[in-house]
Amino acid sequence: MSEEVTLKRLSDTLWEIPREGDMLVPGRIYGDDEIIGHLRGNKNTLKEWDALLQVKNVACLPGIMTASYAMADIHPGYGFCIGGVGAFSVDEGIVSVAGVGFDCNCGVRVMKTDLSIGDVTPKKEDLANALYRDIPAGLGSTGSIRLSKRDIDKVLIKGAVFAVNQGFGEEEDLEYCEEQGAIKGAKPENVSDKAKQRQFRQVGTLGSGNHYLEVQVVEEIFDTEAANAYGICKDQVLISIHCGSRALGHQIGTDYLPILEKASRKYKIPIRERELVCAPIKSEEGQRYLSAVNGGINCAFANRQVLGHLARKCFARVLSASEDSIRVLYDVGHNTAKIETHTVNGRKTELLVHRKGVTRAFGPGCTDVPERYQKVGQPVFVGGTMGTSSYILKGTARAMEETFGSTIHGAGRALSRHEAKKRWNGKEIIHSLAQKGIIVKGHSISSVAEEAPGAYKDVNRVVGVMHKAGVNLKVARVRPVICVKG
Amino acid sequence: MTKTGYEYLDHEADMGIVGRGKTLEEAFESVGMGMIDLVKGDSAFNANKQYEIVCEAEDIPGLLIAFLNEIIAQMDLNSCLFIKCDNVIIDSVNHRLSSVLSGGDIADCLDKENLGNEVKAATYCGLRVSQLKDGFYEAQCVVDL
Repeated sequence: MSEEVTLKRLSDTLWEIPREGDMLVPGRIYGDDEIIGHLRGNKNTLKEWDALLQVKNVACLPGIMTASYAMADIHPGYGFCIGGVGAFSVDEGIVSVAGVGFDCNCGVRVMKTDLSIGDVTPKKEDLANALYRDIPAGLGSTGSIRLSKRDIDKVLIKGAVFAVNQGFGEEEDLEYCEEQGAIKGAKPENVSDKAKQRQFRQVGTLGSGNHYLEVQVVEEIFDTEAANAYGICKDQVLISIHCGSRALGHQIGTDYLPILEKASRKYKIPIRERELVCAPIKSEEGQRYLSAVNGGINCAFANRQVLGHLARKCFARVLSASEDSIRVLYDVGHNTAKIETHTVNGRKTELLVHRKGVTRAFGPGCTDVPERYQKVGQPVFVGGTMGTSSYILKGTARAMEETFGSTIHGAGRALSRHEAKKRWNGKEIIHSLAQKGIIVKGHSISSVAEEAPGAYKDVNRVVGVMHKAGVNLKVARVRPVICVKG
Repeated sequence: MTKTGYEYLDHEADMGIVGRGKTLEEAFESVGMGMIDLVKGDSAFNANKQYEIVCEAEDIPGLLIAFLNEIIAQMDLNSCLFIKCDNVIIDSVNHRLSSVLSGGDIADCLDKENLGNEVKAATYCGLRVSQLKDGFYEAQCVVDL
């Protein structure tokens, strides 16, 4: 099959890679001229660093339904592009390590306070210091949840429920998590001892890199009905936590790549990129991997549950707020492979939906969403940078029809980390953001430089494309006030 | 780049590492050092411990990935940071590798703010192990940060 990628424009915001060669379905990419131009102009030395080719390769995998999709925050990943969605028939389809990646259920939890920015500003410095001290983050950090080695299996099965049972949070928190904070089907016996031993001290840690805890303020409301359903209003202070399954998820990916590589050969599925290995969903290898991923998903829910509760305690202590007043708005992942029911060609069909750097975005009427949000659609969180806005969006009926209920997850990098470190100095970034009223507390100075706002694409553009496409709609824009980076 | 040592390759989201050496072992060691330095950053700590590691894979390129992933795992398993990997020995027939890592407890690192990146995993992206025309070996891959 040709490695040249042909692109056809379908609308202002949607492009197609027409079916050719071994492709079973077309590729469909959301983007405007600039996003697509950037992808086409991205001439890397290695062919694997081509996000469009990755969309095309996924379109060749057995059992794929409708199209191989990429959202507007598309960039090169490992096997799947970041921003890639692949939905597969549970009978004929496959599960791929690349569709989940090395951080199962990395995602975002947003919590709402009943404080306005005016309540926080006088104690902003104290709050930032308390969060920096109490939220375990950075390389080698250890969690404040004390586990026995046997407990880690419970984390894999019970997810956020385990954390709540240990005193980290309230029952009500679980109601506002995707899968109620614990997906079924995790089998700890299919997760290696090495993965569990690596994770043992890391439950309830933020990590590093692009993971963060932000205190944010609602700057603008676009959709009053949805904002009311979500319980948010202008000037309200929110807490946003971005992290995943930490070392456990990393090790699950590492462990299963060679297992699924062998499975690809065994089941005669061509390997188009060494990372894009897979196994039939119904095969023994596929089932084992899925059960391990479910454990990773639960581990990430537990992490965010613990971190959310620690942040809640900081707020209560520093601002004399009641812990009960800080409630989960929603918790949703963006690196998952999950069995879901979608309508394909007018028929309800059970599918395995891979979302790699893609947020689930269910529209109105979906019973998998908390009752209070069912009328307006599921909340979606799109992280910007520590110096720019983030967005709260809502899923739409169109997302259910077009993208298996999926949308973007972030701005996506514009510059490599290497380039960012050459251009910026971490201390200078912290100083310049302080001038804008944003306190950045970084556990690693070089990481702050790598995460400089200028190193990312314009989040407004990416959100704008998906809004115009109708796949999600804007509810609110928020801006950072405090950012704790790992 | 020089005939030995490592260099970083730009990657949109993560980091490519290419290492060279007179032997396959040296090339692997160079990539390992590239990753160790990426994590260590500019921090300083007392490296008073040694850890022996062994790993195996289906082929030689896969062995580079297994080697790097073993270094990453050992950091978590021992709560430590490394400054060096050496004594790399490769059994090219059975695709096995052994090496010695030198490092110290992360708790003893007094300037954690100068640490570099946490590495999630070594990936097959851009994976290449080859002997160059001048007889030197080159190995490269991308690590997910």
